[in-house]
Amino acid sequence: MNDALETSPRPWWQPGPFDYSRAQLFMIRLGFAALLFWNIKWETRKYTHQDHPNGLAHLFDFTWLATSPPGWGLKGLTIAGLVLYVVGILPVLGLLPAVFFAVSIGTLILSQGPMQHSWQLVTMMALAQFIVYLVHARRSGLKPDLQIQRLATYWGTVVIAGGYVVCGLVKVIESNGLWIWKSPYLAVQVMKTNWASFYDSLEPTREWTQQAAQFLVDHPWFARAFFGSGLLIEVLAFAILINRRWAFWFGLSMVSLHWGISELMNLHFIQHILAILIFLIIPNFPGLWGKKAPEAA
Amino acid sequence: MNAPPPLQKAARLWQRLPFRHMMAIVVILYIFGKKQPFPLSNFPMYSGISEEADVYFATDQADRPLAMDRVFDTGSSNTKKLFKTKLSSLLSETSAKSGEPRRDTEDATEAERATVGKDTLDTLVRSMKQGNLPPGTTAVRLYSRTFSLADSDTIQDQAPKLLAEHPLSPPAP
Repeated sequence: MNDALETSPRPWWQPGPFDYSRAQLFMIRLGFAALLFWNIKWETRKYTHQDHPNGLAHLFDFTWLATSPPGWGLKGLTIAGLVLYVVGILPVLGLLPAVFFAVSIGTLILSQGPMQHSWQLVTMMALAQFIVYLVHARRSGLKPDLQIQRLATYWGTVVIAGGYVVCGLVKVIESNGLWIWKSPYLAVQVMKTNWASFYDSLEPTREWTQQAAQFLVDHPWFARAFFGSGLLIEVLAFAILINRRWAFWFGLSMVSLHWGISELMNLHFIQHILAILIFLIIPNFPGLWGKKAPEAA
Repeated sequence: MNAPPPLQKAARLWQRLPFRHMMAIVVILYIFGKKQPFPLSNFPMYSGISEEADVYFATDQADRPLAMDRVFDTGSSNTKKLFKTKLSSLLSETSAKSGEPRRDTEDATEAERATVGKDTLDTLVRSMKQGNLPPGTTAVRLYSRTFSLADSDTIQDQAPKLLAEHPLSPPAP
């Protein structure tokens, strides 16, 4: 995590930290701290067992979180830590409680059996930043300088890119390269997810989604173009690292991918959308931050 | 002291690798995220495309659907994942006992599905909020319903299959 600190000009395929100002980095950390706290599923009372141990649950018993759920004391400690992280003081210590609870609670919930994919990305982004601060703690542990703050944000962005690229690659590999070709069959998943939503709440299913599902079957090339463009966005997500303009525009396309999935399949990856907004779109929104002022590292 | 030449070469290669930091994350997630130890994941959602998809739901004794979020504090999708996880565990145990290769969950027998269906429904009932059941509910049932494109150009909505029933005593007031 050191080599990204180099400041010499880089070719576009060897990206490094963006030249964010202190104010932009502050806003990113503020948004991410709120997202990280919200991302932790604090209500742990019902997870009294870990019958299907996941990850660290093979080594540790996390059911103490069910018998003694974190109260406002521990939540307060986590918030206090996140405040330190946001203001840029002692970030290793500051992120520690949030990272601890995010990993512990996430592990306990996944040890119930059913797999979820809502919390991993944000937790990994927190872990990556924590590791950056930890690695550089001896150099600037109390109040990391601008370079370290940019590096921590960069690694958060790298995790977003890596998460989307691996998601696309897995689709290609698992399907022996036939994912786009077979994608019209996703019509049955459209039916499934919309009916699942009905059985969750008994709110009537949206009639148009059933018609849309059959439309995808009747027009397989449309389905391939539609789902194929989504796959392309995932596989090409490394583009968000090229520069800030790419981060903004590709970030928008990633949000549009999630919006499409949300509308068609009723699957809402809110945490992912918020992470993209915080790390890619808001800090790079054209005109929002005025003209760039050079700032000493 | 200089590093051994192979290490120097590896370091140079690493420096030249396009998007090397992201590539490292991709490799880590692909290899170590396969079994999805939290928080690592290779995000395999919808990577395997099938001609069929099934949805799991609960009803009362008269097959009227129950709002799963409100009644069981969990959703249809989680219930399906729970059923599949339990079925997978059962098939692994059966395979370990018999010494035969482990079967895919798609190849489970009706008896195995019924056993796991009962186990899954018992889990749901344990977290059930009695007060949120419609009045007069005397039993809850677990069903699966399959949407299929196998052998057809039209999405086939197959009749729901009863997996398990759990009588309530006393019935919901």
